[in-house]
Amino acid sequence: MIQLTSLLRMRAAHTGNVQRASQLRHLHLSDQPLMLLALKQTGPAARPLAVMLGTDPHRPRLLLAPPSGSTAPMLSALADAVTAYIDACQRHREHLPATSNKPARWRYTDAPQILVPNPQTVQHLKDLGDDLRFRSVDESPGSRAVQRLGHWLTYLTDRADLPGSAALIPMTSFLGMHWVSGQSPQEDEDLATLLAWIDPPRHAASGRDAAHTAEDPATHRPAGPATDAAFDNDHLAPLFDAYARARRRALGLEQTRTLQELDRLLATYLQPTWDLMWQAYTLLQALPEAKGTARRWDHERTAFTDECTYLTQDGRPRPARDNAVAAAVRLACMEHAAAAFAAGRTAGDPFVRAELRTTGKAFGGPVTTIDPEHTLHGPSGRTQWRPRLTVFTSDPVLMEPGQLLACHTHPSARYKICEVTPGDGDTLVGLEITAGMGTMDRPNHAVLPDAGAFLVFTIAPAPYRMPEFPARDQTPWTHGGPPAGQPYHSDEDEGEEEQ
Amino acid sequence: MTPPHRPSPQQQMDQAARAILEQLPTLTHRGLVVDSPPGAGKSTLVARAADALARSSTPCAVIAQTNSQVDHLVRRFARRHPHLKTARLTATDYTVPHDLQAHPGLRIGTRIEALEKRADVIVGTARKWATVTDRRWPWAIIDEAYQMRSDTLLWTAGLFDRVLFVGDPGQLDPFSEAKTDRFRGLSHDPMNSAVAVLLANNRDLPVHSLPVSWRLPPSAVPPISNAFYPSTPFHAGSREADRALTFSPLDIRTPTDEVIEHAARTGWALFELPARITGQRDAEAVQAVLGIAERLLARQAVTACEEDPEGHVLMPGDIAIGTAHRSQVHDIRALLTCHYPRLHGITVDTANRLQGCEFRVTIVLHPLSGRGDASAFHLEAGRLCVLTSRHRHACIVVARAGIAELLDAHPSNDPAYPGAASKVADGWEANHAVLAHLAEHTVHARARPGRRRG
Repeated sequence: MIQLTSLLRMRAAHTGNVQRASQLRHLHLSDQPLMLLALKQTGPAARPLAVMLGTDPHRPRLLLAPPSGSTAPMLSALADAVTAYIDACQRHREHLPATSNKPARWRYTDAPQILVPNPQTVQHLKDLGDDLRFRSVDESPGSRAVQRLGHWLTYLTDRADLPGSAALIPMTSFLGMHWVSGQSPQEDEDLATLLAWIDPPRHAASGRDAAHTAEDPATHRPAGPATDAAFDNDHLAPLFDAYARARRRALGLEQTRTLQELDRLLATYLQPTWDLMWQAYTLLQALPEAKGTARRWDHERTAFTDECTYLTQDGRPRPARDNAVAAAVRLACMEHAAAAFAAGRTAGDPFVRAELRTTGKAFGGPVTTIDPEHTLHGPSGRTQWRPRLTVFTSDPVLMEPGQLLACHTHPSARYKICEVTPGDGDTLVGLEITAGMGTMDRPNHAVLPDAGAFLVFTIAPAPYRMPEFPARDQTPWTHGGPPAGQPYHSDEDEGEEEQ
Repeated sequence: MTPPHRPSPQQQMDQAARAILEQLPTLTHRGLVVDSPPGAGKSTLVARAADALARSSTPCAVIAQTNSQVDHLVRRFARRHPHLKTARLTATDYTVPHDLQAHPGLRIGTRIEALEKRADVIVGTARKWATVTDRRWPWAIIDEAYQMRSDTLLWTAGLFDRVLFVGDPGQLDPFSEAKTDRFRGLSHDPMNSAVAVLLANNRDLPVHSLPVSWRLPPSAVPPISNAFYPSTPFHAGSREADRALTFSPLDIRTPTDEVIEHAARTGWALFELPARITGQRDAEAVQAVLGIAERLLARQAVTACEEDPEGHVLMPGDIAIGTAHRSQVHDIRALLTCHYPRLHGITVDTANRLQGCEFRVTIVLHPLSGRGDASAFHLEAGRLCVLTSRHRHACIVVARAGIAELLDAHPSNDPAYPGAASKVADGWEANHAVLAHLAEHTVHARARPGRRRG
């Protein structure tokens, strides 16, 4: 998957302008996402400094933690803000009728979506979640809300690990799915320069020029969670010192004044990034949604509903470490999510198929012949209808006979490679339609292509069945036997099949 | 020098095998691990152990990782242990090879209910065994256990009281395309091999190792053992004089002839092309690989070994070409089909698919040849180990110059994690060790390349 991206990157570097990597959006964008910027204090592992958040581009809310002393009031305010947003998603529910393999269910019509500037902020929220969700609930006001915040942060950051999930998205990665800039992938993690490449101001000569301007240390603000060292030294340190002095001498007024000054300073510091986030949001919202996007959001809502149910029924925090079975289930979920997301993008996006064609994982070409009447006798002697077609392609065909293929025109149809005849620089591939064409009595003729039609075939996604893992208390001796302690509800609900 | 009373390889092997087989029936632990270097008679041991275990209790389950490994084992049972009632448990969408289907003593079934009553030994893939539930049998043997991901072991471990794990610790570790950092350091990391997790959770399990490689010639054992099996060294089962690779004499000598003659004399050769960054697709290297194969056949190479002391004329089926990437396999196969009709029948495949196979001569396109960087994939010790340990007579490596410099420019900087450790040697170090060994066997494509780029 790297060749086309590398080519586009070189082209972008050469021309100075960003290149499109896809014209369709594969992740759902909520009408009301919660935008969240976080800053942490330099030094401690997960001590927050400030959080700017909100759903209204014009009214960001800044929550400030004092440089020293308790962060509880700030965390409590953050918990209230995030919980209020999450609660708002639970206002309406929809009923899902029973299907062949699932009983009737209901789920919320909305799910939270939090947008953060970069992957580092996701990591910061993960650390914060690890810290907060084990805090004990006591009499102090807000302690339950803070613990709950930890729970949600862990849920959201866990979701962020699953490809195709839209619960918590780092903006730079989201933009990177659609545009390839002429800078290195590491530089792409800076929102300001990446966005300058993608959407340069009108007066800029090129994306590269705009990125150069955006990099100017005098004006550039890192999107967090770490602050700039110069900013720490020149601006934060004096205020921190002033606050510490005032605190030592118990000068309440002086403390408040310093905090107000810090508030102003950080609001100014974060404002440019806040505006960039909404600029990116507008850009992404303008992209048309790919076909599978809505279905992926359905799964997101199912996962959210399940988590809400768990919280009301049980509510214990997720364990710090996965036990043997939970880790295996988690890995199976991640692998399945990655495969399903890749398959969905392939089916829905010509740019993705083009990229696969360059690496031999897909090939495209005109249909030269078609034999719609072809039949063969199965092992039981029954006559099976297997229409045949031949495709002429100049793509490299790295596949072997027997390989099952899918085609974007009819997602449920399957094609088996019967023979591959390499010619001089091109290849004839003989295919047999094995699924999706109906039966001889009730044929689905739409699947049969016309001769001359240009089709792209990709490797068919393997049919997915969540392997049956033993129950937690049945963990075999090879993996240390059943773990001690109370079982935590496993992640089995996440094993949603996305077919 | 050999000490006077050192037991012969056969005696060493018998002793090791006996120690394992005798321990099995009275084993007080729940498992036993056998580390086996390349070509050490792993399949023989699996078959003998299954035979012995089936005597006391049936059925004995045998679990391998791929269908071809299972077919290979079933074939061995059918041939060498005809008195055992062997059954092949298979998935519905897999077609068992015709020779096995036609075998009269063999039962093939897709459901365990149809096989379990009458079979002594039931062989199937781990994936298929995972579909079996509600059973409890005294013994299972897991073959190629180092290729098994530990989450796969979770599915099946509950079916058996005791398990014999047999595998080659130097081969490719299991992999996943998912982001698996969160599992690092867990003693049950689902990404680790089944044996690594097993030993991390059961530190007192007995671990045996097979001491002799019957496949690798004496010339290959020291470099392979040192580079890839630092913790379980092994010896060669054959003597220098047993293995020979000879050609008809020739007047004209090209660098290609020099390569194959050097390989015939020493068991190793590195055919070094001028340095150049080519990426995966290196037409010149591919031509060189096929040229070497063609020369071997054109010059009527004759191999002699313990099994064929009279000599055997090298056929295309005795040669394998190994690469790191599928696209390289494709390029070589395409070229072979069109322009090298004499080479039809040569095996061309990636390291992953050559695991467990054996050939008389192998030609290897070095994973780092022509690259501008050395990623973890290309540095993986298991990959190079598989590629350089498939041969009975000679291994010829084709590479662009400058790999040593490339390695020095890309020291492995993967973070180290506490917890279950893989037995696989460090890739960077192993690559350097193999390269240092090959340096003594280098033949340059041109007598003296004029310019070099580093």
